[in-house]
Amino acid sequence: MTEVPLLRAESVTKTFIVGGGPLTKAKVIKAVDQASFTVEREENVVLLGESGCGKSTLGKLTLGLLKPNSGRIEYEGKDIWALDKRGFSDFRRNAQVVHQDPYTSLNPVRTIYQSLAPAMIQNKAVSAKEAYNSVRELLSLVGLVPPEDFLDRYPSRMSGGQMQRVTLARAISLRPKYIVADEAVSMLDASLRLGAVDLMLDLQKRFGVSYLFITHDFGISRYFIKKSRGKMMVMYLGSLVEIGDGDSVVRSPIHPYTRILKESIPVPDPKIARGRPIPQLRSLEIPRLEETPSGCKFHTRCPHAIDICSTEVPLLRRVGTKLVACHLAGQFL
Amino acid sequence: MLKVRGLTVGFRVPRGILKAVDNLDLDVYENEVLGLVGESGCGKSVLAHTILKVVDPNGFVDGGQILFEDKDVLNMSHDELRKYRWSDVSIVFQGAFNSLNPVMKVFEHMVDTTVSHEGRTKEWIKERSNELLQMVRLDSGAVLGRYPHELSGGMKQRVVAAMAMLLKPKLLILDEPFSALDMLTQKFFLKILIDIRKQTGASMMFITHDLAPVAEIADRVAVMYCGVIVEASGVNEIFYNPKHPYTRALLSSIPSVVGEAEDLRPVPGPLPDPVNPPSGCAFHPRCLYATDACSKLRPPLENSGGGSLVACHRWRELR
Repeated sequence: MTEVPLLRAESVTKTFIVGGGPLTKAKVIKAVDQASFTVEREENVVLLGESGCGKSTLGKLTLGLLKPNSGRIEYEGKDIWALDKRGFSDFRRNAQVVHQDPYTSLNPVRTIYQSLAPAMIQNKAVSAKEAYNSVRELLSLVGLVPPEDFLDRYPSRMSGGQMQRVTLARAISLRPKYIVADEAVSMLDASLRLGAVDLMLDLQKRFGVSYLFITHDFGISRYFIKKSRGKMMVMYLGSLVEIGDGDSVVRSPIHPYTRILKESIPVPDPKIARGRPIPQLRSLEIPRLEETPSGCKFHTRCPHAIDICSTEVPLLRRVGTKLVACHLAGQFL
Repeated sequence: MLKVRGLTVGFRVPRGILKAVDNLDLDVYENEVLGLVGESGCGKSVLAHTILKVVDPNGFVDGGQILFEDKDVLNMSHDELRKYRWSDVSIVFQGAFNSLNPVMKVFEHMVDTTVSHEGRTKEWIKERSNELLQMVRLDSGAVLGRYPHELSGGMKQRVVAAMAMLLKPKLLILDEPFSALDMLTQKFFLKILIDIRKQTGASMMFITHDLAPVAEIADRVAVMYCGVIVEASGVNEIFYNPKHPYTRALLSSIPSVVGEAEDLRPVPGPLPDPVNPPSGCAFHPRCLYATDACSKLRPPLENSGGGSLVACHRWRELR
């Protein structure tokens, strides 16, 4: 791939300082630690991790909503923090987001039309006259039919699934090239989740966007990536620990953390579920973010850890078809 | 052991009456783990609360009966209720680990739980707490003297489960016990629940929106949709031979991490509006097999053989 990737993160690190009042000492939290990856055009990237691992922070960094402490975010080959004002707003128009909670991401005192139209008019995607028709089209595109029923509705008169479709419509309204979907389907009920993923993939086919699909749900991310083209990345305490094409990370995980995660996920099949071994962990407690372990961050819980794991930070390296950050990877294959 | 018959629970909401539970029948047997599965708003939590007779102020029981070992729960006096709660049936509410009092130590919580049940000495409570905390794999010596903020989320959840078992209830109700735990902790907690069950022989009612953990822990599964039980049978029957179209649809929409998982299908249509539920069978607008009769007549919960129950007009044809 000689082409310039749509988005590239290079050794991106983001720290937050919390506390620091008259009685408490300020603590430094490393939310994202030296993360590097690329998103190609029309490629999907799944970012998988447990709550608090920094996956949302990484998503915000790629959108330019947070500025990294070190490292670069490049969009179409250009460092987004070196762009001029015009270039940056151009980037922000091309990079959109769908948040986790549809209930709080729509303004409750605006109708759906009022939520969708201003951004399109302001960005001169459509004229004020055409806006009505464009919003109608958008709504039917995301399956809210007939659109006339929804245009003048307030969010309080819609279900969670319908609201999530509106936030998707809003995200694609400016025809972006990159969308961060931050736990976009996690709040939906089981019977609606697959439908929402299908809709996202359908929009991708029409408009050629790339998704960064952030989730904690192994199963849904596998469904998402199997139906499209892309890769999956696993994050633990701010570091990417495993990256693999397609659903290979779920199918044959290498990193001990990914393996244990997979073994912990309940399987909707009584016979398989009851025959599975209990994952062996050295410690059940997740280390606190302000004092992440030295060396490999997983070594305090890893059943395979040896001396080197507590002293040296493992870097992502190629193991088979994947990138894995583990000193012992290769022995596990 | 527990018999629910024709139970209807309504709520007064601005738009009218919301029937959270609608003419529902359910049994829980001795020494069994029942998984109660349903999506948000189907009334599963309301059902659990009503079993303990704790219904929100805007809710009311509009008919039906709850019998626990032939005692009529809904007509119990204040005193009887106090004895019934926690020593016959106890509940771990959704998000219960946030309900620990921040200024009380774990041991004080244990004492507090037993206050309204006479005849327990401090020594008895201490001994019983030790035993239970060990059962949930906590270091009881250290944990009893701690305040909630000194414990992690997973530890708090285990403390709450131990509290619920303190008075040796015959039935333990767990309402979405996993919803705020991370995946590794979830798995561990599930194992602990299986252990508790083995050691105490208590029955459990395990309420969740997620079918997957049910496959591991339940003996029997009841599937709830829009205030009614649509199917109830043994766990293998539900997973390998589901009869109700809703159960089938739900099963085929869970992506699994094992196997190839190719034949996944999303369930069409939105969830029903509980204030204005669809006529007849509530699932008919989303059902692939619906006929005219389905929109007119509500199917009864009938025996489909082998102790299985299903509420569908067409279950015989759909093999």
